[in-house]
Amino acid sequence: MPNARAVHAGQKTIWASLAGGLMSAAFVAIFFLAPTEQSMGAVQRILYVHVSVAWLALLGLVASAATGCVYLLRRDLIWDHWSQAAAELGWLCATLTLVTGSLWASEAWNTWWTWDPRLTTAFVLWLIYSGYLLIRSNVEDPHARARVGAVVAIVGVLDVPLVVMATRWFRGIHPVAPEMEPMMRGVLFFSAFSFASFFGLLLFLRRKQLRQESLITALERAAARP
Amino acid sequence: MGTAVAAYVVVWLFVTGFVGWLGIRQNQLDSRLAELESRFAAATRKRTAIAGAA
Repeated sequence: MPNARAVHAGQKTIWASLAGGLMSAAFVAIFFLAPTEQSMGAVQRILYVHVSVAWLALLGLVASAATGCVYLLRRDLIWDHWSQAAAELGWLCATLTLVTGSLWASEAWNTWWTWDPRLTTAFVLWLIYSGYLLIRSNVEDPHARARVGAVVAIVGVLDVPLVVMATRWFRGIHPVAPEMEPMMRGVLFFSAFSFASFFGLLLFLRRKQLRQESLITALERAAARP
Repeated sequence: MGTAVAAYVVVWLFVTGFVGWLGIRQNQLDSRLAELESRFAAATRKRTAIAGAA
């Protein structure tokens, strides 16, 4: 009879294969299935990854703030682990949003960066994530770290509606919601779903790792006591 | 096409980097756990030996 560790490793492999397969299918769809946009050409294909990671970056901060809220109510570190894992992946997605957006802008606007409202609020989002991770790394006590993290995430989540509405509330050059062919729209939603599945898997793995880290630290402290 | 491919290569590099970092962290945790297990095993052996001698 297989032991629990082997079963978990098997499940992990299945989920990783599924997420990896979805990601590969998304890349195939992006480069071979989606039609080439007439005015921008091939560079428009950046949109499929840029929009997907941007949505995940926003979702990451909402998830981090929501789980931070639950931590403040229940004082259970398991919620802080969710919050930290969501913020770390959110930071990754926010970084990718800025990098892919910058690559797209270099072709579309002939500049790598401009202080457009959408770009500025997205950059603020990245700063919030970076601040969250930086502050956390400087607090030793797990509960104090969780409290500070929750407060930063809850205050930081106020930037999310600003990022979403920036193109509607303020005048800028970032596209609002461009018209798309049905095939392009389908590929966009499929790639967003694939990226979400892959990052969801990473979120679960990182959350589990944080839980393990917290248990090992507690055991080490107990072992160090005379 | 070059810029689009570059964007996807950058994404791939970042994601691979993150997964690699997760793997390194997991390795560190596994060795910390192995160290703890051997310390607890040694302590248990010592306790059993003391109880046996008594």
